[in-house]
Order: sequence, then C-alpha cells, then structure tokens
Amino acid sequence: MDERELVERLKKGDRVAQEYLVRVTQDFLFNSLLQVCHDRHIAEDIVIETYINAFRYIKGFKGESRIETWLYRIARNELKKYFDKMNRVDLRDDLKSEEKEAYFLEDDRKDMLYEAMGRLDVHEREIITLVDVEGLSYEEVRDLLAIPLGTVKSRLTRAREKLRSILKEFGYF
Amino acid sequence: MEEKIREKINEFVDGRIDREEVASLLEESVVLQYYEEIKSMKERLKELKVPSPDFNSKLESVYRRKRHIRYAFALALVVVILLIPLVRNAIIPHHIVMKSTQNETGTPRFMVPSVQGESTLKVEIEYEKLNDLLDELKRSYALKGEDEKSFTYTFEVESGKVTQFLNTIKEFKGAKIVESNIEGIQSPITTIKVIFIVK
Repeated sequence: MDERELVERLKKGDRVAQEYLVRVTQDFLFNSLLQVCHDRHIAEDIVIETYINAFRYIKGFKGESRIETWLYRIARNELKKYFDKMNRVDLRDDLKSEEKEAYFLEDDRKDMLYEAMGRLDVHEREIITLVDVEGLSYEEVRDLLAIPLGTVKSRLTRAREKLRSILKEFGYF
Repeated sequence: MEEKIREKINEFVDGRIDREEVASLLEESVVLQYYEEIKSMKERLKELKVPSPDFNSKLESVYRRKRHIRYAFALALVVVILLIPLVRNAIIPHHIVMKSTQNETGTPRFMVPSVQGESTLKVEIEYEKLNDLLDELKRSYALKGEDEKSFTYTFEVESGKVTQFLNTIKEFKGAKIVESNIEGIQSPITTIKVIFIVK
C-alpha cells in the first residue's frame, strides 16, 4: 500500500489501513518517545493518544509531509501536553529526574549509555535518538523537527559531544 | 577542537562525507580519538532500541473501553427517560392523592386533583333570601372577602367541613347550586368563593 492510498483509506476510516499504519510506525514512535521521556508507561500512553488523535484528525492531513513525520509531530505535541499537564518538566528542561527503566539494561555499558542519555536535555536526547537509535538521515530529522539542516548538524554535534563527556565521566571509554 | 572539525567528523561517522575529506583531520590523534569514541557510541546507541508493544491490541482495548462507557451512558439515559413519566405518574399524583384522601369520613378515595386554593361556587338565589343565607353561612364559616356589587363572597372553610358548607346551601330553601368545581371534591380546600346569581 503506497502512502497516498494509505492516507485516502485512513480518511475513509478504514480499520485495515489504521492497523497497517500502527504496525509500520509503532516501533519508531514508541522508541523515539521512550528515549525522550525515559518512561515506558508514559511512552505507551502517548503513542496510544497519538494514534487516536491521528485517526480523528486525518481528514486535515494535507500530505505536505510524510505521514510518519505528521505522526511524530502529533506525538511530540502530546508529550509536551502531558508534561505541561503533569507540571513535571518543560520540554526544554532536563529530564534527568526520570526513573531508570530496567527492562533493557542487561549490561553495564548499555546501562551507562542509558544513564548518560538521561542527563542530556530533551532536545539533545531527541536528536541523538532520531539519528543514532532510529537511524534517520539528517534530512528526515530536518523535516520531523522542522529545523534547518545546519541546526540539525550543529545540534547533533553538540549533543554527541555532551554525551561523550558524560560517558567519559562514567569511565565508558 | 574546533566546532567545524567536530561537525565534519560527525558527518563522516554518519556516512555523509567520504574518508578523503577527513583523512587529513584524522591524522591528529585528538581528532582520531574523537572519531573513534563517537563511532563506538553511535554503534552502541542502536542497541537502546527496544521492541514496541502491539499497539493495535492496545488501541482495540481502549476503543472497547470507550464503547462500554458510551453504552453505559446511553443505557443510563434510556433508563432516565423511561423513569421520568413513571415518576411523574407515580410520585406526583400519589402526593396529591395522599392529601385528597383526607376527607371528613377518613375513607381514602381517589379524586380528580384540583388546584389547591380558591374554589368557586355559583348559587342561584332569590334576592330577598340572599342575606338570610349569608347570615347562616357567616355564622359557621369565616367570611374573608365580599363584593356586594357582584354578589361575590369568599369564605374560609375548614377542610373537614366542605360538605357541610355545601349542604348548608343546598338545604337552604330558595337557593340552588348551579355550578361548582368543588362538588365531590374532598380535598383540603379552605377558600370557597360563592357567586350569587340573584333572581
């Protein structure tokens, strides 16, 4: 199913198309949000809310971006709304107070990496997640975050540099 | 190390530029170390990716829950709609009937409910007998108002004495009740307006 057909079917409320969209995007959405908020339950709730809103407002999707990009933007908004509501942290603030999840920390180095990621601010963590965890290109990140390509490069460089410094403190290298 | 050099190394790590472009930079040990650390970090970061849960089934359970809430709400609405006439027919008339059963005999009877307050009685009477009947009524019942021009008199009658009040008029020679909205009503009416039609 190509994206145009998928969108048309989604606009008609086709359940099969909805299930297909969920299947092909859930990994990306869930992981991106999980790395940003560092809380599995919050990430799950936000992903569910994202899909519900996406299906509700799909008629307003004009196809100016990829549907995955559109979904990610909805998810980002939902996450921001969640944090605003919980009054826990602004998306520009550090999320290092978030609890560490134990489900994938099967070795020390990965544990360190996870800890170090938690010390980055949310934008640094987001860009590293998109490029290094999700493997997106700079251009895809530019479209997702709606920032210039130069900003993608400089933000990524700074974020990686900060992560590297933290990992050095931990004795990672 | 300069920011520009870092950016170049990062682009090289991400496969955006060729080795030749950074070859000279990598000859410096600091830059080489930076490159190797960034590269090893990037490789491990991929491992932070975790399998996501099945959101199709999670969404299905959310929809199911929402459906249940909608059904429960609709059901509650139907019950309320059905209950409204029942409540109106059962509770409100019951309340009125309860009052209307307080007649003189104490025997409960279903009556047509009337509006609480003033009732009207039209009595045909010969002019010369009007004062006699009024005197008789005034002896037993309190006269609360009168309009001599229209021959209208308002009496306050104790709730248990309505029949007696009516009988007084009925049994008075020369008087005839021609219209009444209290006939047969034994409710606790306390004010009766008597309009005399004088012959």
